[in-house]
Amino acid sequence: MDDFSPPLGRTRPVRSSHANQQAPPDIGSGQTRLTCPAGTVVLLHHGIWHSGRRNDTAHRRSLYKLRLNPTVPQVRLWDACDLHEPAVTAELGTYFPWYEQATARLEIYNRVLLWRALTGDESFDVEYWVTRVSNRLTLRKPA
Amino acid sequence: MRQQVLVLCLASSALDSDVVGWSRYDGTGRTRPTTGDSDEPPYSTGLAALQDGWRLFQASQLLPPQSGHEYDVSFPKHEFFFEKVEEGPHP
Repeated sequence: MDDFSPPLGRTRPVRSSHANQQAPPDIGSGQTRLTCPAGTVVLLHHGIWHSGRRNDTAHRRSLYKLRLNPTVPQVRLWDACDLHEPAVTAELGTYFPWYEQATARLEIYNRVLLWRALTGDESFDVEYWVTRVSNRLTLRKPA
Repeated sequence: MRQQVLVLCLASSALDSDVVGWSRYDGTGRTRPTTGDSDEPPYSTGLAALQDGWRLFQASQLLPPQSGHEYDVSFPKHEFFFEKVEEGPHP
């Protein structure tokens, strides 16, 4: 195993890209640097887009990759006793400095959808971002 | 004539909004920077790059989302290309 360091090149994930709709080759910008010493274990959603940074040395970079593929829906298949803790909502509502102003809200929106899929809780929301979109007025048939 | 190119992705279409992504390329061949080479942006805003002598030569066109995709996230939308042009032969 090798260090993921600047001259040897590194994996470059694109944050939040597992929820994106575009094809990976469209992404040249927005990549981040995964820098870590040999022996580090990194967990990534398999849908996170990433590339390999150019290796500027003659040394071949090596790593192990283990891919886990769930075969059943991953709904509450973990210790779910703290699902309703305020820290969960706070974590899922976190903004990051690399978000565009408009897209930041969409990031939260898509996190809510992901959390609903993982927990089966269709009422979960952060700042009503999904509720305010889905709770639209509809025409009612006259009585 | 050789180009140094700086790509800045900004938080909005305003040129003085914050940098959220960046990369640099060197057409002179003296250095070999590429995307993902630094943890901190070279400038805090697009305007700061202008003030340091970079010339803006392209800005992203603003396009509304396709119908049905209004709530999808995508790649950075506000990408600005800057250049510094150097005279002289290739080294």
